[in-house]
Amino acid sequence: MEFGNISAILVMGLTIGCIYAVIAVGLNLLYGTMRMLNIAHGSIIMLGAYTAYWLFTIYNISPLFSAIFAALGAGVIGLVVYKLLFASDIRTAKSLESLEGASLLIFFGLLILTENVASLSWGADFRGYSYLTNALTIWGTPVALNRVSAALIAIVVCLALYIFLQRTLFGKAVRAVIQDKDATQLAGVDTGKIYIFCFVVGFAMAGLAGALISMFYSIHPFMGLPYTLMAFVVIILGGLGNILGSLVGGLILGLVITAVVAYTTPGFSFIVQYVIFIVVILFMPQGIFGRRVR
Amino acid sequence: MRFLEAENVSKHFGGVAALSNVSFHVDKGEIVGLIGPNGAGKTTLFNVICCVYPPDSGIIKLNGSKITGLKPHHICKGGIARTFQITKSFGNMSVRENIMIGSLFGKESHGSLRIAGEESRQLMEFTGLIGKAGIPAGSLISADARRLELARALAAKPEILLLDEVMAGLNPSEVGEAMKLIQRLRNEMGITIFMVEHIMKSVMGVSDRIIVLESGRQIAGGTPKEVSENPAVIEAYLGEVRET
Amino acid sequence: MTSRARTLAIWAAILTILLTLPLYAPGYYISLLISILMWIILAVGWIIFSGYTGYISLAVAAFFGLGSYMTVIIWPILPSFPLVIIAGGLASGFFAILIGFPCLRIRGPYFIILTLGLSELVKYISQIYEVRVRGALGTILLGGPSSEVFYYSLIIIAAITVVTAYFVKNTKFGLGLFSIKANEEAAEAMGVDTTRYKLLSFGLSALFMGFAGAVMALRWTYIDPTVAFNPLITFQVTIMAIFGGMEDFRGPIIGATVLTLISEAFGIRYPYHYMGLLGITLILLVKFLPTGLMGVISRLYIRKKIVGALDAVS
Repeated sequence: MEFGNISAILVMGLTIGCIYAVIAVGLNLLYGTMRMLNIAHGSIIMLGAYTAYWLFTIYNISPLFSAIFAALGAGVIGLVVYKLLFASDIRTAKSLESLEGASLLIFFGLLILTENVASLSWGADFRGYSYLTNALTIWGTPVALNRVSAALIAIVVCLALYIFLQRTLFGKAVRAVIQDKDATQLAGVDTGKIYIFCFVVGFAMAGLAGALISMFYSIHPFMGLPYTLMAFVVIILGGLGNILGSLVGGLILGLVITAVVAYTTPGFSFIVQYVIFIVVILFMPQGIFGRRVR
Repeated sequence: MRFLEAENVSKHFGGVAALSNVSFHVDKGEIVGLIGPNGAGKTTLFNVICCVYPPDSGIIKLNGSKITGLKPHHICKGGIARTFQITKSFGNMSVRENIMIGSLFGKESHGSLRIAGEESRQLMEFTGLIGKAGIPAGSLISADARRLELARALAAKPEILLLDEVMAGLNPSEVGEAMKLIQRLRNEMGITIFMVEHIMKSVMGVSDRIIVLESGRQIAGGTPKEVSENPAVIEAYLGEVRET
Repeated sequence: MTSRARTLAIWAAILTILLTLPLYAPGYYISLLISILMWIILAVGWIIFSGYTGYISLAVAAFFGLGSYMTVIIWPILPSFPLVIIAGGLASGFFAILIGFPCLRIRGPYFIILTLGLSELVKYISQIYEVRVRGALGTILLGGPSSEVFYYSLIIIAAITVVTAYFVKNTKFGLGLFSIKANEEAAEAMGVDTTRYKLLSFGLSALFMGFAGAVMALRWTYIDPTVAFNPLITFQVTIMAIFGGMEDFRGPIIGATVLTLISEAFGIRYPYHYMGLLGITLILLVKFLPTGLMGVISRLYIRKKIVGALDAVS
């Protein structure tokens, strides 16, 4: 795919950037509040993708609609994972920092488990389908309607979450926990409910993203990890715990990756992401917008 | 003879000035106390001296040579050892092994586990921990954990010992023992002592000189008697719940 | 017989059996042992860094693969078995020290992710190199030595790795590494040059992984980036070490042996089931048995000693 001009990169970059944003924001919710790096985030994306695929292929349900089911289902998974694997440890741990390494390994185990269960259930071959492939023209560039609708839904979800966090009492409590968990607990806030919220919503956003992605990318059991790694880069870039930062960071990374792929090869996109990751972690660990002190 | 010197040391975190133009000195063989209300910058000063982070401006000298800009392990090998306010023991290693680390990597660093073990045994006897030699450091009670911090720092054979609230949480009789121990360290082992303390009676009773910090600035310095009668010092402590 | 002498005798016996095996065992067992030995080298090598310092490194595939690629580069020109092994190890070791400088400054989970990304990065770079520069994906390596030579070489490398792990642990170096694991800030304050120690053990760990990679490239006779830098290698090594116990060289030996046997028994035929089970195992291990099998065994052993001491007193 060779795009010649800037506006093409802008359009394609921003549309995929919206998806990256919703993926990163979901991951950041978990990290900002609980210091948990969910390396299995991509697996939930994968599950969401398969959900949309099956619902479309078998029942002809629009993926835009199954995105809701995917989100709900993923949210339930998030609740179960939290209750089963983390709830008791979080309560007894002296500090959340001490759980970071262990929780990452637990998520790692979850990643391996889900990928292989998916392989067993649905086979390891690549799948895909066509939906809404007719093109719109935006800024002189033809874009498939599926991408545009996915981007719109993704960005609306991100903004909805942002507004929720800014305007509602519960949302403010979540932001307080991101700022300082101990102080918030001392102030009498039930952090348990907040953790549940983060797991449920974080996973739900991943499920939603998966359903949306399934419209234009191929689906297979191991598709998730690259998105997870991308999301890590975005949340480091935008600042850990900074939701708006992840939103903007997702858009920026979408543009960067699209530009890189346009002028070089897809293999380079991973290298570029990794370099960004290292550079930011070494020299700007609080991210471009980060106010959160790590 | 000026042993440890600070010249115009400043350090900010975010917008907050933790230390502003602090200058002082500690002579060889002295016991100097560092006091001040909470948030005065005492632990920050220790961290700067030990090169945990660099000051924004100013320098620290040991025996006339500049030590700012080095790494913490150089500082230890240079003869400065410290204890931490919140004890940082090697939790899953035994008491004995904790002290051995100090011996192996401190000022007279060597490679012999046998010598380290022997020095560890001596220090455990000195601090009264010999009965707990094999116990994992993480399961020690608070007073013993502090003894371990001290023993481990001593194992590094320091010329100057930085003690950060080593008596916090001790009962009055334990405080008395600690005071005697500190004096023994100076009198018998020739170690210069620079200590942060909250418990006024203990620091006044054991120090040759006192430096007072408040909000990152030095507001007084002198003998314990002079400092305790200094109106600025009394002012700084008004409104704080203090133990006398 | 003192317990020390008894332990040495047991190891000597095991070694003797291993060394004489080709004389009476069918080829299948040699192949199986070659597999087990490879995993032992990787897992014991892994704990020299990750087990002792507590920095979980997911870069195993990167170092293993680098060793393999040294063979790919050197073997066609100079088919000397010892040469490729040494070259593979040294290349990995130096690479580890090189990237260790920036990477080891990073703590905790970021380090884990960084190393995970590293394996993927090296894989992508190799793919680009193979396609663009060499024009072909994958290399076939012919003319490798016989099974017996592989077998004995791996025994030697495994022995070196195990002995290194033992000696590192029981010297000042090991105590320093463990102090980093226990509390890095305090270690630094106590005079431990944490940067140098981490770099050294990281490099040492990579050295052994590189040896293994160099050998297995010839054994497998076909190497391409997906084979060499396979993330499953990293994953299995990690589980083997955690399962057996990360702080003592016997842990990864047990883990490698047990898991390879299970894999041979049913994992080859049902790879997804096997991997899925490994995933569950990792979760259970981290939650309920983080010190691994050796941790349980040593706790039982200590308890026995205490009970024995109490009995002696009463």
